[in-house]
Amino acid sequence: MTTLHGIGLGFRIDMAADFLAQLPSDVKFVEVHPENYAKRGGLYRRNLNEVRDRYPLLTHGLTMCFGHTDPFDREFLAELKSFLREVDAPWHSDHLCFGGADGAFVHDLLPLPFHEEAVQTVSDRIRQAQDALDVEIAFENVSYYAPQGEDGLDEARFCVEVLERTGAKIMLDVNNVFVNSRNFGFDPRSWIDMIPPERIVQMHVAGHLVRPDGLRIDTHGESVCDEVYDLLEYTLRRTGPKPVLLERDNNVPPLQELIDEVQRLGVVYARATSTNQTAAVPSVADGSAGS
Amino acid sequence: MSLRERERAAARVCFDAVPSDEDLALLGSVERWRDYRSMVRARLTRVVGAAMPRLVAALGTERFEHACTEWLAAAPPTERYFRHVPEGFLAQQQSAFDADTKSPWLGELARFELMAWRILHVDDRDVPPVGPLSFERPIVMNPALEMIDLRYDVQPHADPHRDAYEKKPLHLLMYRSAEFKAITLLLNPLARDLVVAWTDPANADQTLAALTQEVAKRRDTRTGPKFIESLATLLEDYLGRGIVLGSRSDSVPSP
Repeated sequence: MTTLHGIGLGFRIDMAADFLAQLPSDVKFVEVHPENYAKRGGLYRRNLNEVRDRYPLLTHGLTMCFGHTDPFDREFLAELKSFLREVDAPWHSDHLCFGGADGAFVHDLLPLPFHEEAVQTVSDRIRQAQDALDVEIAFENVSYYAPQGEDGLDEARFCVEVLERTGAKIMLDVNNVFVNSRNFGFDPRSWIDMIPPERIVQMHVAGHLVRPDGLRIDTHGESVCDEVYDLLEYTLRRTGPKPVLLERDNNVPPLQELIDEVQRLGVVYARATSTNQTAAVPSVADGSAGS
Repeated sequence: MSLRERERAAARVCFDAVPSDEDLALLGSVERWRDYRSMVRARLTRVVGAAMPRLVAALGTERFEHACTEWLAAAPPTERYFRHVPEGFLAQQQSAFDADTKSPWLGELARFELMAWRILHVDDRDVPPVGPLSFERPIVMNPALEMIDLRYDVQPHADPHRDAYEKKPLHLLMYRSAEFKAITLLLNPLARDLVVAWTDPANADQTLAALTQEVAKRRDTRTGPKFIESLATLLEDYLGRGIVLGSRSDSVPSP
């Protein structure tokens, strides 16, 4: 398993030219969506080849949708496997959601209900992905806007159940935990506390939009808010050093603004993961809480 | 409600022309699932607009929204790769654009813009081994290349305020340049037939000389010094532009 630490940046076409011209040293790795590069040539392929030569690269999928009930498209899995091998991906993550029905794609992340059938569907699908791709699989907790369980912590219980049934890892999106906590009124730290820290393989942070009616939408179109920095620091103190990725997909600012955010995240990262600051916090889920 | 029923209800909420109260109620939060519907539809229509901006401008907001509503209700996207979504839109709407009597160039404008979008993204890695150009070997063309025959000149106007396209039959070649731009070249009928012959996968094992002579014969064109000179100029230009990559270096030429 690749040991990858520090702050990375989602590599997107909007800032690729500036990024490749500057090759910022504060960025320790980049992440790409395979769906944006598989079977594609032109500028995307050239950018991918250049960035791969200069940075460690992680992959994060958009269409495996671990809660989907359609069978996997075998041709797509073969393409994905080929891509993951090509870029030597240490693991591959995708979302805990569904994304359409009967062959149609909504191209968005629709929320799963946190019930047993969904746990089983997700677990089966993750195991199929593990077998087909021959790489470690991690799932990402998503933002959701319609209530899916009895309380906000049902999602954490759902994630823990999937972790236990599959042996997969979690790609913890700290911003999504925060957004959901505000939209559904729960303590985000309690949510984080339920996830076994050793199962967290990577983290995401991003900015989100607060609508006039108060609903928070995970847009990836704003700067990371102060509360998410705090929650990231809290999480890193539990996990120790794990790769943290800044995502920005909309309203992409000049690269220097993103580098400034990466630097600020780096300060939080260093503070939280310095040896004397990282607490060996036991998790509720591994049964050792309170010991 | 099973997970599958839930998926189907959510898909209908996102794609139906008007979401049903029954589906919204099944999913549990009418307001929030209307939000999901808006987000999904906005994202899908945005990529169509990115691929075909002049078509969208020609349609106007109201007609474009109507076209998207028809498309999503009749043929929800089955394209896994987001960049392919505009193909589904046009496949569903092409006949309506072609039948437009007020703007008879609409269908061709849509085809032209989508071709440019496709050219930018097409995977060009699957080419045979390439050596120097030789008439005695099969020619290798840039995979990021397409031909289109038009009745109207729907290329971008120099004047962006012009909103119609003149009737003018054209043969166009579009290719992706080394700078990753979609470049259009106007071809005469002979050049068009040559490029069609050179790019036809069925001719992959034919030598450049054989294909060229075949086209010239079919068009009753004399392959004298003037023809050879014009052909050499064309090939030199195409090599410089990256339209022609060279000749296959792995094949034994046909006798």
